[in-house]
Amino acid sequence: MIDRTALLSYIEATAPTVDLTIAPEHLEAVVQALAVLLDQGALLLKFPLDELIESATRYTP
Amino acid sequence: MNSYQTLTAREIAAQVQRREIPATSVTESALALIQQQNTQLNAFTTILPDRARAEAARVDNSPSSGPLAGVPFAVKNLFDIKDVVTIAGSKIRAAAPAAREDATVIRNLTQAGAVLLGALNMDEFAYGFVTENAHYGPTHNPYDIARIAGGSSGGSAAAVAAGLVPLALGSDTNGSIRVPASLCGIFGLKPTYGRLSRAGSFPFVHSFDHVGALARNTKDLALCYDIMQGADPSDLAQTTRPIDPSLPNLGQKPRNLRAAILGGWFQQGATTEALSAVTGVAFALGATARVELKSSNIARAAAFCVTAAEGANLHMPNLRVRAEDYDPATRARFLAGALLPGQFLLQAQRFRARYLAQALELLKHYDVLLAPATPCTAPLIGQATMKLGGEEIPVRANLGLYTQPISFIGLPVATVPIWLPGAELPIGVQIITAPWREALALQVAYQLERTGIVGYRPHARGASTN
Repeated sequence: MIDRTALLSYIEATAPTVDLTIAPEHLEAVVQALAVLLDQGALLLKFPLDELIESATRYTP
Repeated sequence: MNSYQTLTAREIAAQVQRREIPATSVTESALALIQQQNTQLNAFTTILPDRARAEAARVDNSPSSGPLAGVPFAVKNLFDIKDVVTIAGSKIRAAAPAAREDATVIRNLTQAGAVLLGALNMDEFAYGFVTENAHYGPTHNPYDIARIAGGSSGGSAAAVAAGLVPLALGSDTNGSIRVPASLCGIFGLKPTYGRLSRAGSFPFVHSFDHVGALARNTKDLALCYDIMQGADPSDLAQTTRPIDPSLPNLGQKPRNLRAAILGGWFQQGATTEALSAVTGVAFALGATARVELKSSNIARAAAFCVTAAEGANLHMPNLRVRAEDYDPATRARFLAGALLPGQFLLQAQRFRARYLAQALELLKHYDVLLAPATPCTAPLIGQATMKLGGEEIPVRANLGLYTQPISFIGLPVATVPIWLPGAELPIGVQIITAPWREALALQVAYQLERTGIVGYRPHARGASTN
């Protein structure tokens, strides 16, 4: 689990880049939700995938 | 239970078709029952008596009647209903303009003679497995009103299980039909991704959103599913495959059925009830093989990330200006999802292709895979954590442990209800098949129901309503 201080810094840095303001009263819940998501994401990123598997979802014009 | 509650959808339709009972009389029975029981259950958020009476009168006055003539039904409140605001369980959408027309699947059912009674409670924007909605209250489980009905189609499952309607529509993104069907002891169908039109349903995660149905028996479920099939160009994800009716061959016993139990992830942490339910179904189907869909923990992690990010993207405009109006449980996850690194999503999409290939390979050797629908029976309303596999874990996130990996790759699933000996609460089993083989999943469900292995059990709460 990523430590709380790092998560707070991450939120503080990234939220404005997507034009989001996290209200102080919502911050703690967001920290907790993000910790769970980053944990799941880390598990996912560690999984070795064959380089020939595309990341693009198919779009048929 | 009163006589209306004991009738199946097909029995109601047959009696209305033969003019033995008027559709208007069925509608009045249903409305009276809803009036009586909804205060306690909180399954309906909107009741539509005027529309229902008008539709029923139309059925009675029509010279020909459809296969669902006079059958009452209701829909999760994320489906568009003409002249009703599609709230999708939210406060955010409460002031949105009313829908201009019915969702495609509602139109299909009403054209077949079904009568729409109203809209049903759900987790906000379908983001949850509990239907403990901060704005509209929790939906109660008909078998024990202190317990949840499951979610996010909790109102749909509770209304069907309580006998308020024989059919209800729900949606399933990560397990939202299968989880409440399991906890409320009814049958549910999540078809293959792209099988049924989602046009006119409020989206949650486009990549995973499915619509489907819940019923008290397999035949009603199959009938409802068949009527909802058909191409609809307004849902870009929908298949152009031909309609594949399930009802005509429902009673045929599948020959040389190759069934297997999903082991590994799909057994880990499951309670004795969940494991016994799967064992019971496997025994009835003669399934002795135990197979593994490897890396299902990664599939769940991938589904988690895509859900949060894609769901958040849809809500960015409102998250920027009125985050306080979201259900706290939804808000935190959407806001966190909005901040996820892109690498997670790309890796999730790549993993999805790999995981699907693995599942399809397994499904070349087995027609049916069996797994618990939920790790446990219905938790209490307000219960924050539960003990699974010796670990105390959050209820809200973990009821979909065994459903998320399957919807992640869009496989069709019929959920069947089991009452174990001496049990006070039901639990469901997932019958998973290869893509586009819903008819087989329903056939297997019907075989199990016919032999009494699985089935709906009327509850005591309706006994005094006779």
